Amino acid sequence: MDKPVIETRGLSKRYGDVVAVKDLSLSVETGGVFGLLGPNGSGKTTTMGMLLGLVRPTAGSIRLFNEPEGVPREALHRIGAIVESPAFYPHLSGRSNLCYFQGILGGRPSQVDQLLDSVGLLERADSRFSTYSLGMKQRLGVAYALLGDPELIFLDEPTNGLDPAGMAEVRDLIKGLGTEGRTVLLSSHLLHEVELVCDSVAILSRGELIAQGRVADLVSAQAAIRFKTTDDDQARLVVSALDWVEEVREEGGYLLASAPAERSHELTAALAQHDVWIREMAPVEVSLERYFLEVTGSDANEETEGGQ
Amino acid sequence: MIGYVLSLARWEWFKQRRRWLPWVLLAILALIPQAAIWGSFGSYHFQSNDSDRQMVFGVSGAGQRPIEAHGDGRVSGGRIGQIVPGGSVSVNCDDILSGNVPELPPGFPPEVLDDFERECRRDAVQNDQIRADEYDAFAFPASLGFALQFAVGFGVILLIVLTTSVVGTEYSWGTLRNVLARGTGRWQFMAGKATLLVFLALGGLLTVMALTAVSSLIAVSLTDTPVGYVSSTTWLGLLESLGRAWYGLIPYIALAGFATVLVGSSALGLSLSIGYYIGEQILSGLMSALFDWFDTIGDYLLGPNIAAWVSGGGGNTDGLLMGMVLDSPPGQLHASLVMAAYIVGLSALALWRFSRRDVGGASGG
Repeated sequence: MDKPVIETRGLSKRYGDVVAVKDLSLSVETGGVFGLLGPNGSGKTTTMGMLLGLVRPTAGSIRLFNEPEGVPREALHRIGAIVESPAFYPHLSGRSNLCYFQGILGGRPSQVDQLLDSVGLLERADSRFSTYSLGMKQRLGVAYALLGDPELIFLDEPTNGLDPAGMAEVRDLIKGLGTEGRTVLLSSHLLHEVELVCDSVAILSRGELIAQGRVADLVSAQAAIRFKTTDDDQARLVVSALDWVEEVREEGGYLLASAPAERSHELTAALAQHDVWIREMAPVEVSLERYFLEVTGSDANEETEGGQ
Repeated sequence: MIGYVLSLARWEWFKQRRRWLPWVLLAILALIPQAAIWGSFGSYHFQSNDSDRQMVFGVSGAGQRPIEAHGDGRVSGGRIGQIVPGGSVSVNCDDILSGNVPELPPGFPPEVLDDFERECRRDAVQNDQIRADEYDAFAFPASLGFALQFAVGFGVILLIVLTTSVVGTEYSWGTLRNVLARGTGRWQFMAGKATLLVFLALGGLLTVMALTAVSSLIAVSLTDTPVGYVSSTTWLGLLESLGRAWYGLIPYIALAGFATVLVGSSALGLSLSIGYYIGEQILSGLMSALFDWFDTIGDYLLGPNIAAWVSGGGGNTDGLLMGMVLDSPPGQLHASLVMAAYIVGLSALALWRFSRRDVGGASGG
């Protein structure tokens, strides 16, 4: 197993009486796309800010690239990041903006056009940044994050303002980055987006980490089979006795067994052995959204978009 | 490390040269001294150097007494009204100095003209000096020193505007986050900006000198050189004036930079800096007038020391730094050390504040 590229312990940030991030212990392994998920104001951007040395933690420690604790400049040279809305010099063109950042990073100017091309901005490269649409600004932000061929890339809400086609392009780009051996830390409140591109996620709520793990694991933990039988009381007893069923509960007149959908035939067989017959059966649609809403509570529902 | 800071300064210039603001400020800085140069030229060129001194030698009707009426209104020997018609001769300095001595009415010994001639010659020397001074203000190379003093007076305000903008827009545009997130050192980034601003200040002064040189050469070619004119300026003296003007501007870069970092905004930084600049002069003038003990404190304020330094210890710095006039200016060594202390102190405070500050998104202010 790779050593974590990002590791935090007890990371906290307080602004006066307001706790933005509380006791965050996070571990992000090398390679793939890691999602930082949470409602607006949950502490995602503050966490990114602390990881990038922009915000001083009130407490806790950060370790990047398995180096000694802290956020040294040498580590930041290996990171590409766009935090919050893309901010560039409004009087400069997209190309000049990238040339400037390339210049202060000490990189090759030739990379600029290649990056502009990869995000579909080459045709408008000489237009002033102030004339760009929000989508174009986002694309320039992604290009900026890729300057200098970084090993670790932080993307904060990278699809904000993009049209559906643009979102799909950026998602493909992010997925591609994750498979090239780089690590992408993607912050988003778009659950559908995160589910589509992320391998692992951490879920923040009110500044606290409430869940972390592989998306597939988190989602499968929510897998369930909904069914109605000729004798629900007997069925509950029978299904509860199955060792691969974690829980059986009643919901909306149906029984809900916590079990993967692919074992539904086993469940049917077990009931049949006890003369209990299925009237209706369907797998419960599982998603990160459902999991998220469950672990964050109803308030998250108001602030987080479940998808497109 | 120095190479890195210089590299950051170079890339800062890459950004700044594409903005309107530095060029507009440079145009203002360069043009204002030209107005002064051409004003001096106009004053010199269109003003006659003839003396207006004249005398009337007349005789009274009654006793044939000689009456002398001077141009400044003094009358001796009687009253003007007593002079008989046709019994007077008017003499002016031009006549006397050109040897065109008139015949005086009877009763006047020829010696009376000697006194008048002496006065006329004294006037002529004074007039030549005044005209030489006026000429000096627009003639090359003395005009360069004159323009530099003018440029410092206005340059302080313009440089404060530029500094607060160069530093503050990084906050308002939110670009500071992008710069620092990629590992650019905080103090190195600020040092790069400060380095650029220091060199822009020098560039501004050199531009003023170049434009003034052109104006001067044109102006000189359009008029006559006054009699006995010798330039008051040496090339070495000019170089010293440039150095003094340049060093005199640097504390205001530190002041404006510190104010902007402190509040994280161009507009607020500008208000604080200009407020300090004007407030210091008003308050120090007021306090000095009210309390003797304030003179000691005044010796350590920024404005009086810069004014004394830029004036080269001449004391009268009229026209410099909002017309600050110093009765007892601080000494040159004292002034230069106080300025250095302000530069180091304000820069250190700005860097300390900047290195500890959390960097957020665009503030728009």
